[in-house]
Amino acid sequence: MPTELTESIKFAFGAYVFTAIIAMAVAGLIKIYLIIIKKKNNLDIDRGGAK
Amino acid sequence: MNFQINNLFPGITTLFAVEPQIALARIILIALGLLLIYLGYKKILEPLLMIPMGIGMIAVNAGVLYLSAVKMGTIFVDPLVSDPADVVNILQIDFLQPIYTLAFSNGLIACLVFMGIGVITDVGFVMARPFSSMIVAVFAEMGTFVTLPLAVAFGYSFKEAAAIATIGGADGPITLYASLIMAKDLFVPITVVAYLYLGITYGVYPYLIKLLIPKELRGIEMDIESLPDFSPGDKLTFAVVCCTVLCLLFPAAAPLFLSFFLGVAVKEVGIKKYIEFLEGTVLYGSTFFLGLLLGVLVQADIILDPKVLPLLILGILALLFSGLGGLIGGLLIYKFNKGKYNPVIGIAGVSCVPTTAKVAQKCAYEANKWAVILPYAMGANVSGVIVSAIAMGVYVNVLSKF
Repeated sequence: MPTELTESIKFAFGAYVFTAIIAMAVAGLIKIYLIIIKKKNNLDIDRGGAK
Repeated sequence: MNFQINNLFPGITTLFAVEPQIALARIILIALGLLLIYLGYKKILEPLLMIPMGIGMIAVNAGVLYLSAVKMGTIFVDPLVSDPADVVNILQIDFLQPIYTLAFSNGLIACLVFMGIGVITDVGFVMARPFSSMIVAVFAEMGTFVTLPLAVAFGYSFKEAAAIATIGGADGPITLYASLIMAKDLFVPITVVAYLYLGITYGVYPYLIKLLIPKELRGIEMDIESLPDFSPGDKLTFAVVCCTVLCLLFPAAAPLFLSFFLGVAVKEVGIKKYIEFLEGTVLYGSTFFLGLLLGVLVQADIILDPKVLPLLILGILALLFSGLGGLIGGLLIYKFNKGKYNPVIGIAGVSCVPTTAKVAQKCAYEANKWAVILPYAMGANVSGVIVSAIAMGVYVNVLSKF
């Protein structure tokens, strides 16, 4: 297999894994944000100030 | 007076004054323009793009004239001019050159389309199921990564291969933007192929779904009632944080992130005048000029470049791999959720907003008329836009150094 092709396969694989990690990090960020929203809403309800 | 009958109909006489393959290519492209108009009229392909693109293709290939005693060309647009003095000169002659120079060659038109997409997008669908949406979107990005080595095998450089591979994201503005940055010489054919093939997502994906997903799985009903409802403030915060983080990570794609999340922010804040402006004038205005410009850029001499032909194969492969990846992702989540997930949603990870989400809903409905999967499909769809922009950012960040 030509070197350039091998390099491109390695590069594409690495880029795919990196993209997947960033996408999952964004999903994780959303999840953390949702937990914060939920806690805040529960706190509001406890204080009698439900939305 | 030295009168020559040749000067009376230059569009016709220039056909006989060029090499036969150029003349033949002009005739074929005129026929292709007619076909696009027909397919747009029949709603087989997206008429919003196909009508201006088809008419543009016909006019530019028919309207060739003598610009000087020896030089032939058109008075539409010259995409190859780069010298500043020549640009200023051409701006005063070619009627579409101002739009091309000021909005196309710098990617502005892609950003305007993204603002329009942002304002019609509800990020609440992603927020409702962030992990499953992002997972199918990552799988549905498979074509973007599988196509890169294939394009290298066809003899393209890494940068050109990466730009071609972005067709796999099925996101026209991202492909336009990526090819402008990484393969400026090939950006016309790459973008044209990308937009032409977006029709595949509507025409071919339903067959791919039926081929790979059994009817009982296609008809799985999703729980719509349990989806959380988010306030505009929650969605605005998400958009602002997401935009900041992604711009920090991928400055090369920052104009696209800014445009998309600006649209989202305007929608969530509820600025009515801006919403009307972005979803009407900006989105449809830029789509119209995008189609028209792409049409007039399909000139015989540009398309006859030997580097262009493999693009036709690579574009189809990129989109097929992405569709396949999306469905594999959908099937994996179906297995992981013990059958409580409709795998057809996976196809919506291919970020052709909102076409693939509609295709997913249509296929599910055909299998079971009670299956409503659109909110989940829209979540995957919006995630697909974000993942496509991330993938482009990764390519540009790494390859721009070479």
